Amino acid sequence: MMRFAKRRQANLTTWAIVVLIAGVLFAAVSAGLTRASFWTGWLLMAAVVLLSLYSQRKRLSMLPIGRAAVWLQLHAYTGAFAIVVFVAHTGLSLPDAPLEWLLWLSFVGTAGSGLAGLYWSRTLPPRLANADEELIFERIPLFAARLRQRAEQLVVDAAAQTDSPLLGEHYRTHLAELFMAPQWRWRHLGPTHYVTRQHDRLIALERYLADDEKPFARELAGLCRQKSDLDMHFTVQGLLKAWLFVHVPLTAAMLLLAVLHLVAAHAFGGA
Amino acid sequence: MSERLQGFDYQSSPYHRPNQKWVCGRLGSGDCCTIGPDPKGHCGAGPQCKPVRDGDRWRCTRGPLHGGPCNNGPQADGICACLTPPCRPKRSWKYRRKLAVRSTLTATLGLIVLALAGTWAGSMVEPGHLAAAHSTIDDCESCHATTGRSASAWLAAAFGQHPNLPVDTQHACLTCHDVGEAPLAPHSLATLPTAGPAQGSTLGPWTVELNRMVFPDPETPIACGTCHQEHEGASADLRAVPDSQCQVCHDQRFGSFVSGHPEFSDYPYDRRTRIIFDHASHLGKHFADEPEQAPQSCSGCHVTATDGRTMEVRGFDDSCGACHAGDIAGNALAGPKGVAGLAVPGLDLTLVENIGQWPEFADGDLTPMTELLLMGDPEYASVRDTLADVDLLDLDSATPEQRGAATTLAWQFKALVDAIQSKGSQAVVQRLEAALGHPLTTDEQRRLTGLLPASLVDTAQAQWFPSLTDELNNHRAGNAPATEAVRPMADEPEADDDNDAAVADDEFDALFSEDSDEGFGDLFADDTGDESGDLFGGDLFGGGDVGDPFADPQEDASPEPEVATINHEERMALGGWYLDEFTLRYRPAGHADPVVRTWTELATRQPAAEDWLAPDNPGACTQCHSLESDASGVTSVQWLAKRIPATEHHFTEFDHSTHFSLLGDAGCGTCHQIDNEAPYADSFDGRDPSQFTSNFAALEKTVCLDCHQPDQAGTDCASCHRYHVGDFKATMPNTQLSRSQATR
Repeated sequence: MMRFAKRRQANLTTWAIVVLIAGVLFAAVSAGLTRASFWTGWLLMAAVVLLSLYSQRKRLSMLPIGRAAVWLQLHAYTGAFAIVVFVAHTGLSLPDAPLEWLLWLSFVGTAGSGLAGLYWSRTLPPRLANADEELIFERIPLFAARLRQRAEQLVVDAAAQTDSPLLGEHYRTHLAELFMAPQWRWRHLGPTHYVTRQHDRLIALERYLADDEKPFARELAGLCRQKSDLDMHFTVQGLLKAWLFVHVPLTAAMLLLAVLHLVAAHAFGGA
Repeated sequence: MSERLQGFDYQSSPYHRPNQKWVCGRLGSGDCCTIGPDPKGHCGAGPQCKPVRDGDRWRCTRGPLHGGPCNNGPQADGICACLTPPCRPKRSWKYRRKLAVRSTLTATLGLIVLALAGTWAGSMVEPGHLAAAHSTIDDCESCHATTGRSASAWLAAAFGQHPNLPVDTQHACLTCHDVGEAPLAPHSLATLPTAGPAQGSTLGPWTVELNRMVFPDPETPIACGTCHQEHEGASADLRAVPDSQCQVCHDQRFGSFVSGHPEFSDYPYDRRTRIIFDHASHLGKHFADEPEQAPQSCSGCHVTATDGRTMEVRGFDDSCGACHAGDIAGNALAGPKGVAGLAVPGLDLTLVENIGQWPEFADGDLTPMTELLLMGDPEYASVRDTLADVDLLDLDSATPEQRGAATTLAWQFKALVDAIQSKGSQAVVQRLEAALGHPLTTDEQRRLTGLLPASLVDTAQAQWFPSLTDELNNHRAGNAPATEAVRPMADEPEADDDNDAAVADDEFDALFSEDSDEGFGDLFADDTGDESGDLFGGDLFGGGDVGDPFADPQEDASPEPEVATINHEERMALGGWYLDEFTLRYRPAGHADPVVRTWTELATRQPAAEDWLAPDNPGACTQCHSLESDASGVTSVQWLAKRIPATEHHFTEFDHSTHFSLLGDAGCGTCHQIDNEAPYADSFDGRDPSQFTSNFAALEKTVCLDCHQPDQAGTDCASCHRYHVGDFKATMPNTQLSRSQATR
């Protein structure tokens, strides 16, 4: 733990020094007759290209070009640095031309999704680690189907052994939808551990059940809890994958627009 | 404890190919096949195993992950009996993300092509609206040297195939904006002046110092866009320049106006005044002597310029005229009040031979105007050189050659008078053009001749050389007449036409006799009884205040009869030509008389006319209007006090009008304090305006610092300093007159 804290402190310190140096140089360049926007623009372009290399690094795992974890750290801190350079480049002013708006939005979208992804990738994994079991995201539909089969089998067994339709009706009325498929629930992203309300309903229902029905109800409540955890995995892992659906395409669009911006700036900027 | 969902042993954790494009469509239902879709997304469902022959039987080979060997086993012909039902493969998450990237790229590229393909391409990449002053510019090519809208043109312009792009782009600015002959040079000046040393710290802001370390040599030429940033919106101030941009080039840097800015060593008195006016003596003495006519405040003589920036001196009539108008008219002069124009040079008639008639009492030198007119004769130059050190009135020690030159001079002068008499002002113009070597404009002709009256020349000729025409004819025929001293007649009495005192010499009686062989009798005939027809009537003989030139004190001791003589000089008090004995004089018609002014200007360019510039000459121009010589030695008369046109820009500019309300009881004296001890008048001993002593004490920086602090009136460089220095006039549009415009 100490090692991680020290590493983060070292990284943050390095990042702060780089930002400070860049800020000093920016102030110096701005003070002169040289157009600082060209310098910040090229610096921003270089940072964006470096950031985009991270995805290429993952594809070139066979090459000895550093560990992926190091690249991820580099990606995160370079991204934060790029945001600072972007602020210096634009002066916090909004663009006017449509294509400039597209570039501005693509950068802001990329940076925003990157920051969100960074936050989620730092806060959500512990939640997954604290769950009862680890689940592979792609198999979640399969596990959901298994849970549904178990629940349905349990209700059938309960009806056959107790001659009571109560659990069956409860399942049909309140639980069938829960077990139908993996469900995205934003509540799983909240600060507290969320357990589906169907679980609580079953616990509350227990007082009205006959003694021979209660074991089935408890087992069914366990399945509800397990389904709730499954949905938590589905939501959390889904989010950890979904933000890349914003981040990566916007990065590609931003690169394209940035090249156009660079050409136009030099062609018309007279530099 | 619920049964765990995820198993990680190889039997309970089949591989579902999440890294491939397609995954089994039944993955969610739990009965996906092991084969999986192919790379193109086609379902690979079919037999679950490939049975192998084991003796005479076929054996099922289904793997344990899928339930192991089936109960029924293969069919008799060896075909698997367990067929996996087909599915509709799904895209993997990875493939979906890749598709999202491709779709976004395609959409972005499409938008770019769409945006740049039309005539609206410029507005699609325009980084911001133009300033209001440029709002009528509606195409990029008007300002940007980049030509064409193709991608190749943009790339060529952006990366190196157009090395002069920055400069070329600026030329578009210069199409409308005149900033001098070196517009892209620092301060628009081909040669930069040196700045004064900084006081105190010579370090500028750290950003500037660091900039100089990174960029030790500021790039030149300095493109317009370096300071004037366009596309910043309609309300942007294109002229806003931060202090750091000024400091980055200056070797003598300083922190700010408050700290380190040089003291005002001579500001605002960087040269002597153009008009010679001693504030100290006027305020200390003259105004006290003439309190009625003295101005009551500074505004009596000074007025704000129309643009409010500078203070100007009021016109002569509003400021100096009350006391000095008479000086120009020559009222206080003891001698002649008119400027000497054409004058008969005095000659030693005892030694100059064969010049015919010559006024006996002519004793003047060649006047500047006479000499200039003689210079129109190509042969005069040699005469002038020969007579350079000769006193024409005393030729005793002159060589025969010099005496001969004096004879030539006399005939040249007579020819000049004859030419002026016969051709009038045209002869003067022709002589002046020949002497100056260039044609004169109509205005110059008018101002240089002063519209010399022909009748006055006739009168002068008759008085100076009564037989001029005959003499010249004889001279040109080779029969030079002997020298004959002539005494002109006295002024004709105004009250008594028959008064003999007007003609004092018998010889003149003979000359003007009707029976005279000289043929002048008809000149004096008065057949009509009209005085105007009589050449000697009216004002023919001026110079009333010089006494009677024909009186002979030895011959006639009796008192002269009292006659009322005509004072031509007084008659010309409002200006004009008059005859003063042997000189045609011009009396200035008040201040700024065009004739005197033009001849004074001419005198600055002609050494022969240098005497005209004397301060005590009639007109007294150079008493107040200083003479200045530039670096090439060309002298000019400073007719006007300092005036800065609105188009003229200097390094330092002070807007007087915006400071008026800030002045206390000291008023103008807050900044302009008269130095009574300064030898101001000595400044005009020479003609170099930079060598001077001001009438005022130098302005101190502390006066400005009272208000110009960072938190008060500000200390921006641009508050007082201009970057572009020079006289910049708005460029007129080159409007071609067309028929449609003419008839609209």
